[in-house]
Amino acid sequence: MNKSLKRFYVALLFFGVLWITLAGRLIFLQWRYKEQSPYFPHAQRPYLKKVIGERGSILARDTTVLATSMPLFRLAVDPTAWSEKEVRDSLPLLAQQLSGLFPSYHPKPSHLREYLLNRWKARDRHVYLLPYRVLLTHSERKAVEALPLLCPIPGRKALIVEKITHKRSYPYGELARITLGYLVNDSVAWRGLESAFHDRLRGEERWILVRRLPNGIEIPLENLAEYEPLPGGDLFSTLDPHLQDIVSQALAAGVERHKALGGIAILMEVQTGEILALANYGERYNDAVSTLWEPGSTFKVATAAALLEEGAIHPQQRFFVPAHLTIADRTLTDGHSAGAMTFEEAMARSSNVAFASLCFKVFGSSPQKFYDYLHRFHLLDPTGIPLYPEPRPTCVSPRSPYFNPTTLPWLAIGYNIRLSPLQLLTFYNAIANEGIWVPPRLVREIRYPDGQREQVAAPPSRRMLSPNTARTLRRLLQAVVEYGTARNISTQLYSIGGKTGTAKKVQGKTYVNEYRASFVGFFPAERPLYSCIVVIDGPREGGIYGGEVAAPVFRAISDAVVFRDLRVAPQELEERPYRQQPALPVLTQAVAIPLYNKLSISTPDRPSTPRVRTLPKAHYVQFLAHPQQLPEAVVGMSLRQATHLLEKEGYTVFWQGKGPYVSAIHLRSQKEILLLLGYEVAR
Amino acid sequence: MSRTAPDWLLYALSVVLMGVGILNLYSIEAFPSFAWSYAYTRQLLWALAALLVMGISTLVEGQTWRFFAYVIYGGGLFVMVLTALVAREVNGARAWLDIGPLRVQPSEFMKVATAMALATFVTRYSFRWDSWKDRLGIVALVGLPVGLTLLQRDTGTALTYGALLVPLYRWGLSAWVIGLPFILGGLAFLTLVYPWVYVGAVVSGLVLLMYLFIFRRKQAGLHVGILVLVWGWLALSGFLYERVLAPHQRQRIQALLNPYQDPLGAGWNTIQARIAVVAGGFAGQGYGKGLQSKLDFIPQRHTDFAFCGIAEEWGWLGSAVLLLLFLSFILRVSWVAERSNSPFALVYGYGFAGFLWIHFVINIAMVTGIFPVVGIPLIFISYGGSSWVAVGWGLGVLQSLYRERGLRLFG
Repeated sequence: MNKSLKRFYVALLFFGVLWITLAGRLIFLQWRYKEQSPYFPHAQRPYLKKVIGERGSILARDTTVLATSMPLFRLAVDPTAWSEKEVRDSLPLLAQQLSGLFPSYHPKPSHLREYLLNRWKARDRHVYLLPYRVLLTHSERKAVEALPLLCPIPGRKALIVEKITHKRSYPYGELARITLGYLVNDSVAWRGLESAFHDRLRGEERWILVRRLPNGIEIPLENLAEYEPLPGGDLFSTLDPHLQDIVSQALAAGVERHKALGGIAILMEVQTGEILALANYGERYNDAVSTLWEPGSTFKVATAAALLEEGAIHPQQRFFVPAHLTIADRTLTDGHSAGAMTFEEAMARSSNVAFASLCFKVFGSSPQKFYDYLHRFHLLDPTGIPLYPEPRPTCVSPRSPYFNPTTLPWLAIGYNIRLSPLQLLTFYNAIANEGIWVPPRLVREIRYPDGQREQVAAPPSRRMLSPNTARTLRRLLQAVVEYGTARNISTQLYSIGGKTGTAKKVQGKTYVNEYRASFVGFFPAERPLYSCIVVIDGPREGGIYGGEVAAPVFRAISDAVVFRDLRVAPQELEERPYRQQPALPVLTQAVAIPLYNKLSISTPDRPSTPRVRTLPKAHYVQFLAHPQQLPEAVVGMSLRQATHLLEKEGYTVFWQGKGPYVSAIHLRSQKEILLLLGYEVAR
Repeated sequence: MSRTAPDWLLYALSVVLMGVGILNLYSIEAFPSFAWSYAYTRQLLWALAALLVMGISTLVEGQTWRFFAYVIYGGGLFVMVLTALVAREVNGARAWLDIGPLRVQPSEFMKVATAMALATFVTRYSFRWDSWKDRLGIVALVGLPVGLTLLQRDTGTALTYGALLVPLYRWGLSAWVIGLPFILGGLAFLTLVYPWVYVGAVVSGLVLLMYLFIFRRKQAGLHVGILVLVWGWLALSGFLYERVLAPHQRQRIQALLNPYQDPLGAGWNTIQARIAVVAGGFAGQGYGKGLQSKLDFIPQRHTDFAFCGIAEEWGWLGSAVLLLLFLSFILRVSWVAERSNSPFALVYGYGFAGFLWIHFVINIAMVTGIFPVVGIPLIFISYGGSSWVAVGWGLGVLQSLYRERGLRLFG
């Protein structure tokens, strides 16, 4: 073929192929998108469309909002509502302020002004203020509604508000997040209360008749207001955001101080079983409810309860505890020296040998009896808390083929059984509650928009221990804090009862040298109001024992709760009991030292100034340096002394207020001074 | 000097296309009546003007065009510079010059002028493909109007100069040079859909297979060169996309990938055009019954998206007939160029055909959603005075050259 002609045919082929592509594309469009045609039979008919009501909120016990669905809006404007004068006067200002509100969408006010002006000239009646995909929250909408030209005045309504959808928001952020749960894509509930009460929180689903216009916009055929779907119920939870914050902060501080893998903390109200705070470190998985752990020494309280109920032992009964105990081929040792001790001391020191041998002696012949006690203590059943999943505790039972002579002794000290922290806490809570077991509660009630209220079903509360046994156990647990393994958290301000635990962790099938430190207890111990559990998983620095790792976190939590109930700040409470100690605000050291020596109150500090300010502390009085220069030096003196000194220096003295001391001074001019009197000296 | 008749079929085809265009402009009005405010009324006058210009330029002696090609080209450049400096902005571009009551778009005429200048340049006796000087000359000849059009911020029109690859190919340019823009453009588009590293990996695999099985492990350097070119281009295209393209251009490309990302903004044109095409169905809604255009759902319904009216009212059948008309029109132009018996007419004719072809392909591809929205009208269908008159002029030039087909045997 002629080479030149070949090129002609190639060009021909090229045109042809592209032509076929375009013709084919037309056929493809009409086949693939045929239902988009306004003339498609389906598009003519009205059809049913699902609309869903607003999802209910989750509220805290003080009715602050923990989770809520916020409506999102899209804003448009009808510029024809503006008169020419309004446009002339206010449009530049509107553009300026709007671009100030949304700088990322409208970086240049001049462009926006030009745009709106053109739309106004074109008599466009629907102009979106922001790109179509941008949805605004309620507060942003309010901000826009307040702008000039957009705020509604009589006879002018320029702003068009479209309510598009709802977005779930959690005002407290990550606080108790896994307990509250997640709402994936604002529709699918995952974990926590969101999931457990999804059917009650979610809004009503209604089907409404709509017809689609040729441009794809759906219009309802019925009056939408009549068919507005009902919103879902509001969930009133028992969580207290303030305490939750304290608990999670204390837990996080503990976990980070010991470089631990994780941890949990639960705070519960004793009488009602209401959970005030439930914190999981990291808030990724609800270990507090959903993970079974071997409790370790904290379980000794259950053994003690069974022994006491059995009448096998008295708290002050003294017996000999050997250094180690060998059963079959396994040997159990204690961390402390052997010797005679009372049952109370055995509990306080957390003696493995004592508990294992006592349990073996009392229940060794009839292990089933011990298990019956565990059943009675509700330790082998889930608590029925409405969070998913709550596993059933596992335990090697006497009927199991794995049951052997070592099972019971090791069970007595908290192995061979696996419990969730919440299940253990409910048991301790029952001891605090005079022996009455109450189910843990996370939800008080659900209120529906029609005024209906629904109580959440829970297992009935029942007596688990005799009041006497409960009282004895409380005394034993107080001993743990007073002089036992948790004496480092004892305080004179209020009493704490609780038990430490340091459980070895299992990896694969063997115990490894990693630990889980825990502390479970209640406070104030005489009349318990709150029970609390703290578990720190895998501490790697600064100790491993429950007493040194978990108990301080417990103390931080209990301090915060007590101080909150007393409505005082912690540092004030530290010093209040010692206010009675004789302490004058300002003294000379020559007078003060013999005075305090006579009263046998130590004064360790010796500031360089002859005059000192005194600060009463727990066991001593602290001396602080006091300025020597007038007029500042008169602060803390009596009015008479101060006036004397100052007038000698040529000052004219005025005073104001009531009280024995000069609490502050105020220089009116070079030589005029105002003394403010008061009962306390500003530090 | 005996000159023969022009090609009457070409005249007939253009008159038919003009008729279809005006009928369509009439039917897409919501309440059509005879008034100067309507596009079709004004377009009737422009059609007459185009026919007049076509006739006059047919009567001009063919070689005159070749003689004055550079002069026309230079004058065109001057007017383009003037336009870029003084023109008012319309739809973001400064491409229109107001002359009394008329509004003229010089870049439309510049296309014909450039085709003529290019034809004159490459059909010189001394022209050689392997001379770098001549290659640079071609680039400069085409680059100047492209640069000025870009200066007028009219990217769509600048894109149409790619049509000049067609006559260059016909005049002996390597097919690789033609294929390269398509391959590179396709690769750049793929990087928007898939991660660029994947695209590069697949292409590298293909090159490796080519090296192993087609070239039988010979010419390794060539393949390494291809790989370097591909990877370099892939990296560069990402940079160009992010940094060189304006935000609204990026939006249009994104809207092509997923128009529902911004259904009332960048995706609006694509979606509404698609609805119009789909609404047409096989046989269409009937003349004057297309709602998408009438109710102004289609933006630019008179100009760039005029094809929507035809697609909706005449359906696939009508669209196919229109597409066939265009194909015959373009092929007839190439046929006339081939038969003109002069290298200048050949190259110029193919240049003109290329322009027709690229307008046609990009416009229909844009309406059917396989090309980003750019402002390129559909010849003789879209409303627009300059475009129609310029095409009429271009056709007339071709006809005048065709009339002299019997006069000479060489150059």
